[in-house]
Amino acid sequence: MLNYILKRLGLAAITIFGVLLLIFIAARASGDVTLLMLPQDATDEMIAAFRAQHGLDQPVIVQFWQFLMGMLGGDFGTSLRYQRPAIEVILQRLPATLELTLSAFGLALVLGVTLGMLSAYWRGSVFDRVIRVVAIMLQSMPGFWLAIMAILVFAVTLGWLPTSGRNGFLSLIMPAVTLATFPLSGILRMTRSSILETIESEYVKFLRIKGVPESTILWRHALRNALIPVIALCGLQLGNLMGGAVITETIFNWPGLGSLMIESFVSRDYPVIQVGVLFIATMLILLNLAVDLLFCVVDPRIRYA
Amino acid sequence: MTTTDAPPLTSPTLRRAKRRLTTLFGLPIIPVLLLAPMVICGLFGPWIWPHDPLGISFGIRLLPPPWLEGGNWSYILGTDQFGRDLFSRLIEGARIALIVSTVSVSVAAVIGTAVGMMAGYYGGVIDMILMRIVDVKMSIPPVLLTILIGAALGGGLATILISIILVFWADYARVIRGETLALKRTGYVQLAKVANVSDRRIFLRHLLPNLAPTCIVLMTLQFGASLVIEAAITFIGLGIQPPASAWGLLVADGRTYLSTAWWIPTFAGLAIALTALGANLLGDWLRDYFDPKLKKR
Repeated sequence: MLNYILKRLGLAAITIFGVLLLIFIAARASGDVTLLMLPQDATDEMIAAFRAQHGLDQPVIVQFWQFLMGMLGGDFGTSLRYQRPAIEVILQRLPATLELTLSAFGLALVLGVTLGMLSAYWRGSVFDRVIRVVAIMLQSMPGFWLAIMAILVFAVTLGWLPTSGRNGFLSLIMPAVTLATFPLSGILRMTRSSILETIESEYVKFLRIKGVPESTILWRHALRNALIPVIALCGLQLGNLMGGAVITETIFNWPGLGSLMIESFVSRDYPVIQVGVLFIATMLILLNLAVDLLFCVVDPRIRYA
Repeated sequence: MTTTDAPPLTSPTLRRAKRRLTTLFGLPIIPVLLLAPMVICGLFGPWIWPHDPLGISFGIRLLPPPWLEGGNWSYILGTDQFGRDLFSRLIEGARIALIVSTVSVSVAAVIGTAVGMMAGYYGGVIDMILMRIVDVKMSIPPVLLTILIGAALGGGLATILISIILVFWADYARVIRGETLALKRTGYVQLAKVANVSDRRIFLRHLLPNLAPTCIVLMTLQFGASLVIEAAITFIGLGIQPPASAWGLLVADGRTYLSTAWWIPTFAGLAIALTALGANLLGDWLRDYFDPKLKKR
């Protein structure tokens, strides 16, 4: 167990190193980092000073080492737009994003598992067919389009909900619901197929032979085992949620991390983009690690070498 | 891959048959019908569109579709803020979408399949490095990766293609690696090795044909996903730039005119959603048809 945790922590560290390498390469891919890091109207003296200060005349490998040491030492660069440490700008936007993604995730999880279960329970019925068609349709719909259609119907035409901003519960409804649709269909489909698979297992057959009622089999026995792959999927869906949040936040003017990333792209605030990607990636890596370790605790059958 | 022998009537077989029926109401005709307009418009656009998709005429700005008051049957889906025919712009958008999706998915498939086969077959260091790269890829949401790349390259078609390829190739690598690991242990691959068949020949003659169904299913599903990603990247301003008429751009344009011209974002989004739905349904159908070991996601 301890061995496994240490091994996973090591792998997570390597992955974070990979993310750092990717960010470094992405910056160098543009040719001249100075032009990325400095505002577009920077003078020649500013460029020369920046180069000298950041050792950009050094070999690439030395530059990467310095970049790495800077990141590990907590020096994440300064936002060009706000003239404040980039990490501060990020942390300031974090609560809004957490509020949005957690609401969406909760919604997707509750609805996805419930509907997936019912769909499996009444497999082949009209309900099952409708749910599955809806699920695959949701998966094909671009989230940003769904969001705009929601604004068109509920804000512009009906006037029930505010079009944008973060102003109380009403303003949370549309962003959270539209953001929830994508993970929802994945969770739903996974729950359904996982329950169907469990229902055909030996121990469920045995319970049937014993005469245990079908509903008891589903609730007491099948569900617990069927939910294991669903939890694994949830870890992966968190990444989708973060990606979706970038777009949803931009559409609804939600002052979170996602819209910050787009704003930073528009204003060429490269340091914030770097730290934002690093921050979100690290968060996802650690969350997935936590999910995996949770399995280890919850399911005694899973024995890791 | 497919056998014509009557399979035993076990419950997995029944379930598979049932799944095949319910996904498509018995026929793969629906996904084909959903995908056909995009492919036809993409290939033959200039012969189909009734107006020049870039032809500006301010006299007919924001014309509604003909069934509404003020509409004109010459502009079957209405016009946009510059008086350009929306229907023609959607056709032009199909061409852009077809190019982006085909190129990105094919390149990702070739790279991913090659890497996955090598990692699964040789194992060792190649395998280890590959799986770490896959980990890195999984930890960065596609849109963020695009922002990172877009910030360096400045957005545009190249940004879209590079982002989608970077996001997708790892999926192939991961799945193909798993399949190769299983195939490696089969008798015919082991025997081919004993018979001193070259690695190249084993890859091309023994592994690749068996991996093809998995590859085809994944490519179809990713075709649908790439449409949505391309539109999303373009929508947030990192992808195709105006005045081109990419579908994502039309939705973005329509956002400004939501209260006066609902038809612009509605029809453009429908084009994306229906085409992606077609690809997803076809992918699901193919998966059931080939029945590879792809896990339902």
